[in-house]
Amino acid sequence: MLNILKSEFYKLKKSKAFWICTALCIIFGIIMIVAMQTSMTMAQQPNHDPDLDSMLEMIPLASGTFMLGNLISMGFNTIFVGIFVAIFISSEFSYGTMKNTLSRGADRIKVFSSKFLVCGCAALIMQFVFMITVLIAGTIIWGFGTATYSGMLGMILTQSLLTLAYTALFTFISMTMRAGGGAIAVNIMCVTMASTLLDAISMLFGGKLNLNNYWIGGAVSKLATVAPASSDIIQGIIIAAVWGVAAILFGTTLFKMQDVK
Amino acid sequence: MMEYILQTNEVSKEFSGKMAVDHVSIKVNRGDIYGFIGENGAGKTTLMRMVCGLANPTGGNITLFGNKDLVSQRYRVGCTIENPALYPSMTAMENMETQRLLLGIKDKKVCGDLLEMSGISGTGKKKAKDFSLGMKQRLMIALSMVGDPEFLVLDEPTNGLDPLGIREVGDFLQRLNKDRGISILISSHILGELEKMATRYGVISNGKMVDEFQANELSGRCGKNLVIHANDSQKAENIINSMFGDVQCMPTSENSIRVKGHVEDAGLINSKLVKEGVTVKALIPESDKLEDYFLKLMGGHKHA
Repeated sequence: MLNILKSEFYKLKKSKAFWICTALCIIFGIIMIVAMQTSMTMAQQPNHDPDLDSMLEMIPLASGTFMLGNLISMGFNTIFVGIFVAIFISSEFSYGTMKNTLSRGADRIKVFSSKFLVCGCAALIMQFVFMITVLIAGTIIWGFGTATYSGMLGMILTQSLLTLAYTALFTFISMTMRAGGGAIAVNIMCVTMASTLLDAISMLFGGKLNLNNYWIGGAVSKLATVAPASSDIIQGIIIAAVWGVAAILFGTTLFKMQDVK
Repeated sequence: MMEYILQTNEVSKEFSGKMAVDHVSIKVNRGDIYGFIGENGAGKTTLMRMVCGLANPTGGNITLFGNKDLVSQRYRVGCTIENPALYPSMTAMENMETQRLLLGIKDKKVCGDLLEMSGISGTGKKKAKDFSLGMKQRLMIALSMVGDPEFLVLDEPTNGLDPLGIREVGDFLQRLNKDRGISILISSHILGELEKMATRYGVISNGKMVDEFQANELSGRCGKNLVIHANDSQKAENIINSMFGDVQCMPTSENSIRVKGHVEDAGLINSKLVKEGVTVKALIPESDKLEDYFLKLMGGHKHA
């Protein structure tokens, strides 16, 4: 397992997709903060676009820590994680290099687990880079804001756990689909459309049960604040654990059964 | 006692109701270069993929180094299956490094040595995507050699190589076999080259083993021919056709013909040709080549 991990980390270091997606996290973080500031300035102008009215409510709250929570809930960094995982894993199948690993006696469970661990590390790096960028850029424009260390830590840890759960799901999808384009599309849909779809399904059943509360994206939105409620933290941890473990179990089982071309 | 590196026992693989490999049993002895021959889609690659752990058999079993726990033995096997499997944006050395780390080899020098041995040491910072197919094939062989395997499974490793490259890879594999004692299971469509190195052959058709034999048994299985060099090959052909009703004559080069069979009639043919005014320059008995034998097994029309 250690040898497989060493080889996987070497590939990560050499992966252009990883460095590009990490750079995009920085660029998007800065663009979003600048866009927010511009929108707030425009909203303060007389005869402004009515669509910008919601920005007026944000003006008194605006700070580095507030924007951190606000932008994390939008899931930009998770989209880049999904794209990276799809490219990193599906390329092993499209280039045929997975054959080189498996034919030398690497256990399939260990291969899957190594892929998840390396992608998980990459995902956390990308998340921290995005968070730090947003926090620094936001602090430069509006100031740091008010946040307790425990609140910040709670948000960072639960968001990290949820990012790992997403990564497990992306790993499962990419290892199963094995086609770069398809895996990228499905991974992005997981982040952008799943919540909307679950809300719609909940409405079909009269709205008594909100399925989005049990989805990773729903937990990400709830916990995108520097003062998360402890009940939300516990629910977030459970959701991340259930989705993460389920994705790894299904992924390893399927990977063990499938032939590799 | 003979030590088998690989034994497949009635191994089968079914894809959506079609048997791609149908109860195939082969044995590769230590030290063998086993030439695995078959037409396109015969089941060669599928069997090799099962040996390398890339596909699960639907029937039968495989033994590597006398052990049925294949995962524990696969580090002793080097494989190249189908197209060269490389990271295109990495250099040759970086591709080698991924395999070295995977196998937990401490000595970094191994990669350079193997690249040197495979004849692609001077590629420097050139990415694998910019390599010619021949260079990719060589790099794949070097990759499969990481970890000093005792057994190589090579699926058409000379695909895309020019005649010189084919010869070089052939010589390289023979050296590995002789100097390092590495056993090799190799499939190739270039039967002439395979014939120069293989010590044992297996022929597969439509998923079934058709024949398995030692290289020294090939001549016994092949037909014998008579090659006649004469001053007028057309006249010689007409005379021979009139002598034997069922004879097959084929022109081979200018003023020479190959007569299928009839080696025992060489004297008779010679005196008849001379009597009819044909000058016979040479009359040489020869055996069929592997390719001829293969075509005969396949019914004469298929291609390896």
